Amino acid sequence: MNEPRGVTVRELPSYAFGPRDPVWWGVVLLIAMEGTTLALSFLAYFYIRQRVDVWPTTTPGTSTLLAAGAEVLVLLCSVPPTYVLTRATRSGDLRAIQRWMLIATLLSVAAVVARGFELHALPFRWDSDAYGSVVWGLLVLHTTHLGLGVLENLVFVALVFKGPVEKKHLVDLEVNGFYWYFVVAGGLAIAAVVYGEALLG
Amino acid sequence: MTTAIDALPHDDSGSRTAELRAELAFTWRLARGLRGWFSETSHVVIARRMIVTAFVFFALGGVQALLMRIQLMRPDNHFMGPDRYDQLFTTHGSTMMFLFAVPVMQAMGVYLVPLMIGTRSVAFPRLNAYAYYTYCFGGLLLYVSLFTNTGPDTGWFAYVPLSSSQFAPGKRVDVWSQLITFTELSALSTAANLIVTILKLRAPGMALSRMPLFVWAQLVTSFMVVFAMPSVMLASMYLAMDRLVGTHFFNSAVGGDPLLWQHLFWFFGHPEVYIIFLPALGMVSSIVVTFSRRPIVGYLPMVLSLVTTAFLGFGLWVHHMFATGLPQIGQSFFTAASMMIAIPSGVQIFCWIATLARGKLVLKTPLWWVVGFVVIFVIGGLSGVMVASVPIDLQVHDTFFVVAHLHYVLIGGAVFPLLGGIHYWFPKFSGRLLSERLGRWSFAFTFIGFNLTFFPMHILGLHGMPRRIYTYRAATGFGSLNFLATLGAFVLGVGVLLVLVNVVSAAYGGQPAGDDPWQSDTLEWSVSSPPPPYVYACLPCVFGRYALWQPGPRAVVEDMDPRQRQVLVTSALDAAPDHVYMLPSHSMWPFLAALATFITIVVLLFTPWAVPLGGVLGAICLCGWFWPRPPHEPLLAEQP
Repeated sequence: MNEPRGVTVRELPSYAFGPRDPVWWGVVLLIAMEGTTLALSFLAYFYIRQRVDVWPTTTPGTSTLLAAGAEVLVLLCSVPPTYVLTRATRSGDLRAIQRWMLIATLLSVAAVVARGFELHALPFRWDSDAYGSVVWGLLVLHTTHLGLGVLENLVFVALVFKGPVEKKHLVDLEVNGFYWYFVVAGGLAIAAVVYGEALLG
Repeated sequence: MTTAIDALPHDDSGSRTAELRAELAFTWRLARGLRGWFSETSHVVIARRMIVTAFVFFALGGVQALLMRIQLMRPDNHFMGPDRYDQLFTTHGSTMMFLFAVPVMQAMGVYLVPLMIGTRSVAFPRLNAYAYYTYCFGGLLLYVSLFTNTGPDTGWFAYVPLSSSQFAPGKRVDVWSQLITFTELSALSTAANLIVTILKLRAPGMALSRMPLFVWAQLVTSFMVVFAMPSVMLASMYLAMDRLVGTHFFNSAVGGDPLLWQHLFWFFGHPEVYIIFLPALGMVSSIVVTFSRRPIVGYLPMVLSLVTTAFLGFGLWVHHMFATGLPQIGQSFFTAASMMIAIPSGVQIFCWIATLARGKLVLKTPLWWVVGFVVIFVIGGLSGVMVASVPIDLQVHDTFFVVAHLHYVLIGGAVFPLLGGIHYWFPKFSGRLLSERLGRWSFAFTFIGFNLTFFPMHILGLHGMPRRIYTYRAATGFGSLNFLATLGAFVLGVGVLLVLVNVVSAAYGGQPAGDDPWQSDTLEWSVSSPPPPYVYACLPCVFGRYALWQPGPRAVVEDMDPRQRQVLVTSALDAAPDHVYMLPSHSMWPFLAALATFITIVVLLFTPWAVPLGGVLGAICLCGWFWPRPPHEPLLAEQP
């Protein structure tokens, strides 16, 4: 290791991307916390599943599967714009950031709308039985992640269109995209477990 | 090790100038007035408030313990009824675990870690303030409910089905489950803050291999918090939903399972013990090194022991559930894991003893508390090995033996080192020295009182006295040992009271401490006592594991702008300088966000419509918190 014998910060930058940035670490830890909660919710799902003879106790209908399928599609479609957005933050191209931020945000709002339809179409309630409780629990938990993601997107849309945009906001925008990947991954995992099982019988 | 500190320049030499300090003092000035009080984000101020608040809760929990001991002092006592007793033991446990032990350990970290790693603040000062206010609101909710006779009454672990709406109607359990939400939000926020601070804001040269053991302990603990606390948050959320909107997570009649609660709770609950205990080990290491005047014996094994304890701590939760009828293979696995965790704890004990044995002992009050810790914690560890064995556990399950064990581990393992730490760092906090004489008296009373209180409980438990009973018959023969325990509790209370007297009298009339009264090795002793809001006029560079004992020339970070709230970000492993990072200034938004959280959660006690309400309030707070304010620098060249 090079020993610092007196360090000057004159030449050092005022922001950095990725793991060099403290906010990136903060968001990684947020994802770790929310990811742990989601993982434990899945454990609860499988724990209850092994104690019930018939599973799922109520099979999701076509309308539910359509809404969930639409949501999965929208979530998948939101990944490329988010990726392009994060690349644009590195180059500092404000016009590209505005464009892709808007598209990513519209898609995230569409995902929330699809989630609303999905919850509305579920053929069971949270208080029907333990299956209903644990599925609703998973979906509501993930809806809070979706909601937070959308809220952050809306704040950033306002920021990049109204300004002033500081250089450190580029880092925040990139980190925001990183969080959205987690939201997408969570949504896909829930769809795979809850509906994949119902589809496969 | 010679005390090379005198040969080392202090923080205020070299490039220091009066102008620099004046500019820094202006830039980092504390907020004033009532509005300023709620806007303050200085880590020193927030941590100090958090430590004081935690000790207020400690005192309240202690008074509850004394009231319970009075009730149990003699058989067939009617000092209080079963309902009041149930509320007291629940609130006592919840207070000590959620409102005292975890917050106070984190608060010590928030105060000391930035000083020890050579930076000016925590990475997210506003989040730190939010964590404090959220914690305060949680405590407020619990105590308002207790004083209005709606205190939780199903134990600090609120087992279902006892805590289900069928057996616990009313709002008492709901208060408990929302207390969890508050305290876990606070703990998670602080843990994230400490991790990022430790990994990214260390002084140049302070590689991970040179980090003080206290900082290591805080880092490992914070990671434990990140992965343990979500479990209890999820459990309490399920419990709240079962009670509020009729879900069936724990209702066995329609597919739920009460044991799911126990799994989720103890997946948090056992690591919780280490979350409380590991920071205390860090304090012990700091004290042992300083008062034996030598480097720690076995730095690497010490660090590895902390990490090993953290990993093993997540594999033990089922040993709290031996009485639930587990498969034998499960019992064997968790017995083995429970016994295995004695190994890293033993390694650390031997390292401290070796350090003390090979050092030049300076037997000041902090070291007395460490000696008390070693004795009590070893006894608690041994009774832990006993209850790790399934046959013994089944015999003493839910008896006073377990009460004795957990207090030996938690008070011996955490409170004794904490009080040692308070005696050790009080000069840094206040600029004053505590009285050595009063300190030794308080230690003697606490040590004797503690053993008088809790050692008889081992025997009571072995004789079959169950825990969580408000009285017992004279024919059981439990009377005399209970009387002894109550006597001991009051002696213990006097010991704690003497600590308080010592702190208050020293704060107002103690001898000036100077910057480094103990000739210690870590960086916090290089700044004035108490530290100024900017902490370091010039950030230090670090060349060794024992920064202030390191011979050689002193170097500092130069050319930082004193007119901005700047800190230096360094690389996570080697602490190489990376970039300059601007911290935000004071803000009311953390307090308002905590208030919004409080309103949402209180409304949630009554209706699920609190969720959309919380969403709206959260959105407002998020915008206010993060919206950029002048000065906007540096700006993107292209603007909308």
